[in-house]
Amino acid sequence: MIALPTVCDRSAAAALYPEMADSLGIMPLGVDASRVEKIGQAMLQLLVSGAKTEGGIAIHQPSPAFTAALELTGLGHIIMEGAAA
Amino acid sequence: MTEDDIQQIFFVECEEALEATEAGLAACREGTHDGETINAIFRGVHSIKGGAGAFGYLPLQAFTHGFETLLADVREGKVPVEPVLVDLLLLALDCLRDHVEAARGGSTPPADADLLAKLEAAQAGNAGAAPAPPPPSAAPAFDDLDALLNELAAPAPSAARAPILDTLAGNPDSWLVHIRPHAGAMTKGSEPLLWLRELTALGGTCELCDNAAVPTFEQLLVEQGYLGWTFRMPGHVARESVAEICDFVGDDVALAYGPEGMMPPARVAAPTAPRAETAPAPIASASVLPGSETTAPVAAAAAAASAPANQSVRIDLKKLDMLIDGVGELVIAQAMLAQRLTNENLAHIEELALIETLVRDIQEHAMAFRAQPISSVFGRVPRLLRELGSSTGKHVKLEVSGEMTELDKTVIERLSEPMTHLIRNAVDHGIELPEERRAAGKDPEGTLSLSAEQKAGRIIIRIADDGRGIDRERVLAKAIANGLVAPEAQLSDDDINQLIFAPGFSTAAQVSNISGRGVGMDVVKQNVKELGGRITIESTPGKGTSFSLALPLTLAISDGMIVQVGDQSLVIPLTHVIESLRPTPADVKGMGTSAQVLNARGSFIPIIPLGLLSGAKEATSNPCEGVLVLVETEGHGRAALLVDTITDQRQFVIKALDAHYRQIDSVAGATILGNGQVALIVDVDFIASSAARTQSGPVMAAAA
Repeated sequence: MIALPTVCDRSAAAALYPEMADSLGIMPLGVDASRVEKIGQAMLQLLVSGAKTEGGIAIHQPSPAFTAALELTGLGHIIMEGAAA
Repeated sequence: MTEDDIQQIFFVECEEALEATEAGLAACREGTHDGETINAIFRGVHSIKGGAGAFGYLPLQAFTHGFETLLADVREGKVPVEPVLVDLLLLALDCLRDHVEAARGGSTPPADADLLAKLEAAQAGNAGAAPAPPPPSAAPAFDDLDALLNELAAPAPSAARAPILDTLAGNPDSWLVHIRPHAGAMTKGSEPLLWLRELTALGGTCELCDNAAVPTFEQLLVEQGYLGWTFRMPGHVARESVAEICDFVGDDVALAYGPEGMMPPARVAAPTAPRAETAPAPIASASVLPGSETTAPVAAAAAAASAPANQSVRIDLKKLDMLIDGVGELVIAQAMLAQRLTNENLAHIEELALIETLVRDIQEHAMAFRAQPISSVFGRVPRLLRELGSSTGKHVKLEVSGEMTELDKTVIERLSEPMTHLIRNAVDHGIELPEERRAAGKDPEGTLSLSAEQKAGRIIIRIADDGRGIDRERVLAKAIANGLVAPEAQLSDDDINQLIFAPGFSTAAQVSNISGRGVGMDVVKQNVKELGGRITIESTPGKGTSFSLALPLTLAISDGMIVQVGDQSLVIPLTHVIESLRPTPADVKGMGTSAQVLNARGSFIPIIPLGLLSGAKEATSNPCEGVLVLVETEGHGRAALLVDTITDQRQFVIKALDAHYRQIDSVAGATILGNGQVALIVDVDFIASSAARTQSGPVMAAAA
């Protein structure tokens, strides 16, 4: 399980990249989005890419800000795909 | 960064905006404009307005506002682009320039009430009507735009717009916008998601997010932009409002409009040309994709109109000059080191050669910093022609070529005055009145052509008109009357042409406020000479006159041949040198009592002993004992300079003499040699021309 930081800007995405790259596997990787208050394009891309890779990702406890960003960007379907797990 | 610095940047940007506007209006005048041209003009004026407001230049802001309001109507297509309108816009541009100058210098802004009234009268809502505020229905979109821009200046969410969302559902007028932020959009402190939020605030909804470009995790680069969005905007929102949202990131975002407008491709993928659908977008998507412009005609035109934005850094000129000075000293120090090593018999060590290469590289790069396209000088000419046109009644077409030729900034700065003089002269004296031209079977509209090119280490700038040419008889008569030339003197056409550079010389029957006081050409010659340049005239009666200015590429460092003349070292600039030789007695012929000529492969070249001119002691006077350096000059053909020996060939740093001593004819400056000795730089042209004069007859020295 990987936890997203409060501010998911470009540098946060860069910092998270190696950790996520290591963790992605055949099983969906759990991503805790409960603390997210701000999120930018870089982090969204990271998540989209994660969702497209191998087992994909599963978002847990999306915060309201996170959900709002997905709604704004129309990326909900792809990022939240594995959320049910 | 202090406010002063920022203000300085504002004025630099004003210059750029004014130039862009000028270029745009010139295109309008020629009828080669398109939507992007008008947009560029609008953007130019608009950015000045923004800065003027921020710095509190109220008259400037008020004027730009009036100007911009009319431009907005033009952009909307409500006001047709007609010659009358273009003339009005050009007038407004000139006035705007004065306003900017006034703001910069803190002087009184120009009177603009009349012009503002005219601008207002020309607005769409006022066609034929008395000047009145535009009816609100005329440009609601632009009121919105202004409001939006104000908000952008002080970022505040436009909550008031939220209710618009309710009216959006099923709005048939709604339109699509495709946004593709590139890498830079995320790195420059902006965040694409904030734009999306702004779009939502304007009433837009996200239709689609294109994530096809997002690669799998291994190939993902966090810094790249992979996502693209399609937003549906309500019909009442102006396209420009959307463009302005992302405007400040410039090229780092691609926009496209319309239902068929394709999503611009992500820049990380192999770029293919996007189709900018319908009207060209204010930010043409193609212009941000290098190498793909030609495939989309609309976008290509837009790309041509907006010069490619280079990544650049603004540097204070002083700092740059310090760097150049430092490089100059480095060149001298390196020469000194080489000298010292030579004394120690170490001249050929590898490290020295390495340093020499590096110094040369650094010097070339440092010089390149100062290089600027000459278009900044040429760009001021259209206004000058307009002003001259209105005061003389002569309409003059301008043809420009080679405006991207680069030369040293100092040269450019000091070039504009002599150019202005020459152009004024060309229009006032050269080009005839329309009736006269018609009678002579010429196009009633005169043509002035400006060209710049690089040739043999020099920049040649040509200013040519198709006017009546120099009336040599009148020039000669006047020169004789003024006592510049002896009445019985036999002068060649070229000599007569040169007479117009004499101080106080004027053939104009009456002194106009443009020219005719006889100061102009003298000053021009002086200015050009101070730049280390030369000026030559070609003139054909009835066909026109052309002035060629030959200027050095740079003022600071040059290549030269170091020669020994008696007890003195002199430097001959390498750009002049053709060859050096030691003649046999058979090659040298005497001419008259003292002069000698060299027979170089059949052509006779005057020999000029440098020892005589420099007053050096024990210099050889016999060409067969010394070395002859053959030099080429601009106006006086070849000459052979007699020196004792050639000691070296190297770069030298030009130190102006007039700054430390005074200007001396036949000396172009001084330099410091490796051994710390000062050497004079020979002004080859002056020496050759004075030698030609003393040898070819009694031409008055005043003509030089």
